[in-house]
Amino acid sequence: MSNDLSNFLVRRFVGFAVMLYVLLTVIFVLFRIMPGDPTAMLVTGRFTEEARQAQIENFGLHRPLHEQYVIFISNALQGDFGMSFFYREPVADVIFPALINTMLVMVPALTLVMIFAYVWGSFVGWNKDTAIDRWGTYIPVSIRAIPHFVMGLLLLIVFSYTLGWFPTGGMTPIGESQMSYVEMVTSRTFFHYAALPFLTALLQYAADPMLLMRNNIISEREKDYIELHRLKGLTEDQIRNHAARNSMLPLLTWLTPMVGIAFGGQILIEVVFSWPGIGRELVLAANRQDMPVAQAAFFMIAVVVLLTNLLVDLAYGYFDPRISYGKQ
Amino acid sequence: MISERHVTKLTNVRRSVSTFVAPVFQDRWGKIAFAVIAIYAVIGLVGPYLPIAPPLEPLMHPDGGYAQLDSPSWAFPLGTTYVGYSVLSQTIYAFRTSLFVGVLAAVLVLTVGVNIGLISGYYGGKVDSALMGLTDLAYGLPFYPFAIILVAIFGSSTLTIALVIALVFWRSIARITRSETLTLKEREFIKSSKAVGTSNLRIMYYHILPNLLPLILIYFVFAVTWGILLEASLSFIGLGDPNTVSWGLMLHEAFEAGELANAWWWVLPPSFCLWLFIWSLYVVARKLEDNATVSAKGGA
Repeated sequence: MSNDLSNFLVRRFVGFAVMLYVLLTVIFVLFRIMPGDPTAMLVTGRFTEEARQAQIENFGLHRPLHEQYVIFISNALQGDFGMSFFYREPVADVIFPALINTMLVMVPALTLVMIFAYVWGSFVGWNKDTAIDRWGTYIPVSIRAIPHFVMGLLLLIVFSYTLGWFPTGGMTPIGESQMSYVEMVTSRTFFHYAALPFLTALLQYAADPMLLMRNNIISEREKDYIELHRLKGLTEDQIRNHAARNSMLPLLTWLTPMVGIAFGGQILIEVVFSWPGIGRELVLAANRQDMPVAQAAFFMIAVVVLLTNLLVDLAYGYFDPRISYGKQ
Repeated sequence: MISERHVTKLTNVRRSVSTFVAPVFQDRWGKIAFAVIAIYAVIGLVGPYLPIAPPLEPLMHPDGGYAQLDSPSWAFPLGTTYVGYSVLSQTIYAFRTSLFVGVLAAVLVLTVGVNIGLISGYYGGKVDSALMGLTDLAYGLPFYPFAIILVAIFGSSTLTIALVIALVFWRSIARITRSETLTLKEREFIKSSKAVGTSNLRIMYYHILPNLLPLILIYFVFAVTWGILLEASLSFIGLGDPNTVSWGLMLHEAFEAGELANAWWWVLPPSFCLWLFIWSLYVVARKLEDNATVSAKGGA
């Protein structure tokens, strides 16, 4: 058993490393087959001659391609993605704060979505074919069909422009000095600014896992042990809790693609609410043709998604003792 | 020449498809959704031939001034944008863009996905491991960020957007097709065709593929939905094809112009059209999905 477990861990970690490597290679290739030469960007006047030389030196852009490849990968693994063409700062200084800002909205939103999916999905599924079930699924599905950014725009129009309850965008009032993260997330201003992006994410992601939970509990309801519990005289609520606990595993698996999807949706939400997250930074970089920032933002998002895959895999093994580590 | 056997085969296929789509028409919501899609298709086809103002030409008042940000009136039924374009015309021309991107993307997605899944499931072994490794890789790529990067590199045209969608979305179709192929391959009729020496190609595309049709249909609808959503999203963030009229681009322009608060007539039509289209496609896809016994599910 423990041997199986260590095999499983090794296989997962090797898989992660391989994906990381392939990802970097894809980025390297993509940004070199793009029309125009990456060094051309450096001579467009945004950089001083010394800065340009340093950049070329650092990335070995004057060397043959295979050497550039090695340098690129080793730099990237050390978190060095060069200098931003636009900000003229190291890319890492732009990317990491932005990634944290994205997480500040995404992590609480996804957590709440999972709780909602668990509670509401099991409740609705338990009442299958009743009015609660019909409306309890139609409404979330209809809301889900509103694209992220349309939802964001509508909330913005209603709650910011019309009612004036929330700010129209950004993360802090303009001109306010940078606080520490602890100070920030405990301040009222932060919640004021984060409320609408958070609500948009919540409304957008809630439907899918909820429907999944509903389907799981409907099939769980048919199982023999439910009848046994009933005979034992447990209340309906207690029985539902048992069934819900047993049908939450697929919900956990769903979290994996969900993180990827949420990063996608988050980009649009950040654009609508000018939230200074990594998604918005990626879009700005793409529009400005600031390739160092674009590739680093893309890489960081992909790494977070891969890490989540890894963690969910490990957690899955922990939560479900039936899973054998020996098999794929 | 079409032989007797081909006719029977075609009849069988047609019958299985029609029983398959029946649940869409069983309840009210399904019928509404289907009707909406049909109406959208018609507007998409005839839109540009309707007697409406050109979508990219500033409108004028009778006194000669440009009709900028006019609210809806008899002369301009849905008002005008800040440069004086007709919102009605733009909204109507955008039906065509959405349909075109959606269908083109879906065709590309299915072509790639179904073939990879079929080959992978049928041949198994090394071919399977290689192709499924590639699929796992595609699953590891976060979709929107990847699409943004590709559009930034290759430029934004409708074709690029459709290609980008195909490049990423084939993964779930490939997985499902593979798992269905794996079970079909073990069935008697496939084994007997193999025994009489039917070629692999013929078994794959003549005997297995028709059995995958319901699945392909479901994923066609899903892929159209993804295509429309992606085109709208990319256009909204300013990476769409600047030379076509689309709902995403309309919203992008309204947002950039800072006119969300005032020009409701500019924001609501594209928002509503997008929502209703996506809602209808979801409803139809879900009804189809309920009916099909899909053995494995792949996330988007």
